[in-house]
Amino acid sequence: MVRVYALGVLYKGVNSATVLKAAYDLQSFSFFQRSSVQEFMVFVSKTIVERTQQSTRQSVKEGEYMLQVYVRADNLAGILISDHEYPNRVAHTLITKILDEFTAKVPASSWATGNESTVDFPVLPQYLAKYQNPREADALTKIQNDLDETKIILHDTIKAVLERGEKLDDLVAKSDSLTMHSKAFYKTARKTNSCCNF
Amino acid sequence: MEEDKFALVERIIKDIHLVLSKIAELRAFDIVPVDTNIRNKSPVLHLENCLGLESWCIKHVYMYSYSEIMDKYCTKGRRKTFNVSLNSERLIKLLNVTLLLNPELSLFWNKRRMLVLECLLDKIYELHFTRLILSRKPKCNDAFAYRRWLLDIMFKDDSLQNNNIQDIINEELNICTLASDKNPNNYHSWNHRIWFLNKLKTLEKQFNVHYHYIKEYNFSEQWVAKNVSDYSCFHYRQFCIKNIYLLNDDLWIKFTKSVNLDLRKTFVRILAANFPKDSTIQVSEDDLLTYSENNLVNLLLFHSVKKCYCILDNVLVCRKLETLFHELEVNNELIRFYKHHETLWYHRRFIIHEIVRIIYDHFCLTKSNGSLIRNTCKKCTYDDERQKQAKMVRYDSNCIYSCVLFNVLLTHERKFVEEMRMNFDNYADRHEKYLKFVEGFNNSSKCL
Repeated sequence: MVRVYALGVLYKGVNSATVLKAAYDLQSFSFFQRSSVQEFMVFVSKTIVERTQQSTRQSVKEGEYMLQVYVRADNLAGILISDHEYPNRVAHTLITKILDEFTAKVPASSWATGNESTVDFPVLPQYLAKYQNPREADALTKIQNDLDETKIILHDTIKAVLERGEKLDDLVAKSDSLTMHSKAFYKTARKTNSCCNF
Repeated sequence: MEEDKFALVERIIKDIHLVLSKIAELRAFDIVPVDTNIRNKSPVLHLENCLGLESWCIKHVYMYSYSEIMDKYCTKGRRKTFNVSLNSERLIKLLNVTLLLNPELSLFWNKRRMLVLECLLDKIYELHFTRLILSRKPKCNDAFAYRRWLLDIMFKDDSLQNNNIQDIINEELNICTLASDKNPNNYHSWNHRIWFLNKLKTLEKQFNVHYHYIKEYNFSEQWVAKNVSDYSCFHYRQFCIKNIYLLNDDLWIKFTKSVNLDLRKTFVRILAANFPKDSTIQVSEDDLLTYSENNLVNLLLFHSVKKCYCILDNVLVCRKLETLFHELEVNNELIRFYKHHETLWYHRRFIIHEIVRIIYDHFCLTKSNGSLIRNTCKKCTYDDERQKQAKMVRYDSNCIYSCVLFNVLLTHERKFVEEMRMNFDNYADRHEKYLKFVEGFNNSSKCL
């Protein structure tokens, strides 16, 4: 299944990253899981952005999901969560395009202090719907070949992105942004994913 | 303490039963992970047509209801004397709860079958119930099998109205779509879909299943484009393609209109681009478009070498080729766009195999144990004067390797493999080997 679950624009501050705008497509998750899944997407996006160097692109594989992140030199970051069939090249072009548009629309001075309610950038849900079909975006990839300047670093698991000694389990346990409910959800997901599914 | 627990479990079973009474509206069931009962509230959640159960109570509820069914309703010795109707309501309640939590229990599904046969359970209710199960476990084969059993009974019932059938069809296809969407590589849902369409074929007297073939063909084309590594859906696609062969003239016209593409044009374009250069064929693309089906097939396959006088259906052959070459074109694009997907290459093998089979059929040949043998004509069972099933000499098989269609296909595949090799797609080499060793594409070089 070629599918995009989330698109987000973040700002990488000195200590932590903040979400400036994001859109989610959680239709494929069960009703009771949606809120937890969304919290997790925010949590993981922030964690990854915080651990990505400036002007680098990364593609991180975790389970059945693929996380594409690009942090620009000016600390503006874009993130796209999809499954692994979504072509990396298309995903990164899309992120670049969104960040360019964001820069044109929202003044750079408000990035550091902004949050989801103050930033006015309503086009994300539209893009999320449109680029569910990556071939729509392909026309755009053909024009924009400057992507090759920055190489995409590929990681097979989220562990590879974390700093030495860090563990995802600990980060989840420590986090204040996740509710009790989501933490329980994370634990169960861990358990069910550890045994094979036929 | 134990008593308290039992009372609690009873209460939960009752709550679930209450929610299930509105089963027609329920869309999904799920277990919500909650570690402990901190809020001291009922763990049964009912929100926006979804039923949820908090995870802390699962173990107790499941053990309690499972053991009660096993003790009271499944003991061998008492089965004969046991009066189902007396306790059926209690049994249904327990079965509902147990199967929601663990639907992989064939014994319990059989219990439900018994209840249905004794008219203690409503068939429509059961269809709703299995839908709920599939919302949580979209790969549950027991649930699909049970649906098949129910539908079998319902279709046998003569009182079934035509518009009811339409509802059932929509619902069934919808459920299969949802299940396939929830879980990739869902063999069970696609298999169920194939079963269902084949089942509809047997009911043909009441409505025309061929409309659904067209609809499903178009649906599967969109679906495979979004699920490029799911062979289960490609298998379904192959089923749809084969169904298209069965359409009659009117429906074929309808079909070509529905695909929004000129199939003949695609076909002719591939042909014109790959005609053997040394041969005498000097037809332009525009000329080919004016050819009748009969002329086109004769150009591609020469005249048949049949010894009997049955009339060959060249129109059908032409339609099959149009469909398959369209599929080949779609496959080209998918492979170019989504690189390194084995499934796409396997689907390509199917397409090539089908085309080669058309050539074989045309010359009345079949492949058996790697060597070609002559077939008897399918229509009149005309027996060849030569010994039946005698091995072919190379000279006889030359008609295949020298026909235009074969060479067009060969050139097209060579070009494509070469192109993909430039893109570092390792499957291209494997595809070339497949063509060479399985479909016999190397023999041709000797005749050219």
